[in-house]
Amino acid sequence: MAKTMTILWRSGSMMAMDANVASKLAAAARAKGYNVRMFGYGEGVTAVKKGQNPKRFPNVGNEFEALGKDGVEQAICETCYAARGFERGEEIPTAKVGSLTNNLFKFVSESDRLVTIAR
Amino acid sequence: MKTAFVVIRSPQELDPTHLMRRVADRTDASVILFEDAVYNALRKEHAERLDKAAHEILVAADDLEARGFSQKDLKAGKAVPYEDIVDCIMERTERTVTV
Repeated sequence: MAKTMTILWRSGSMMAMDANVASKLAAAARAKGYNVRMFGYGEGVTAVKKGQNPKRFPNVGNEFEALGKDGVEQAICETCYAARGFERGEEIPTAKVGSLTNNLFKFVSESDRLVTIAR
Repeated sequence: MKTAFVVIRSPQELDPTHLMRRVADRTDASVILFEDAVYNALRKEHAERLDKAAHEILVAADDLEARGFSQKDLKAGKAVPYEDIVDCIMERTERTVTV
């Protein structure tokens, strides 16, 4: 059975390149046959906003959606999402608006490695 | 315990070795440099400090090249693709610590 990596990211989609690092790490792990789960917390929830249009920068929303279609399970913190004025339905279709208790703790308990990408 | 340390901040913001030395011996420590943390392997004084704290120094090649540098500019460690970083995290170490 393939090992599982969980990636926790906490930086916003346009703050730095943290979300891109998380995305590239997830893609590389998937390419090598590992299971990958991702959880967005704090400003990290902005990475799954649908319809991002960053012009000259990588589109993290599109990258995350492609990962989701490749089997990467994605969830974000609902409290963090609501705190920023987002409503359910504004996220990319592959991301689940979840919670620390229902998603992150489950991801971590079922994973072989947890990688935190945060500053 | 074999530990992969993940660093994303520049040496101007943070000296990662303070925590690394307290968590793992050099022989058990690998360090992965993303984003501005790649400067830890480019400046001689920072690279020497890091080399004393970790037996393996992996520099994300994409992040290095995005800043205009390459393997030949490194004072310590090696530039690697993300796939090699995954190997380090999943197979060569037992836990990750983000500094």
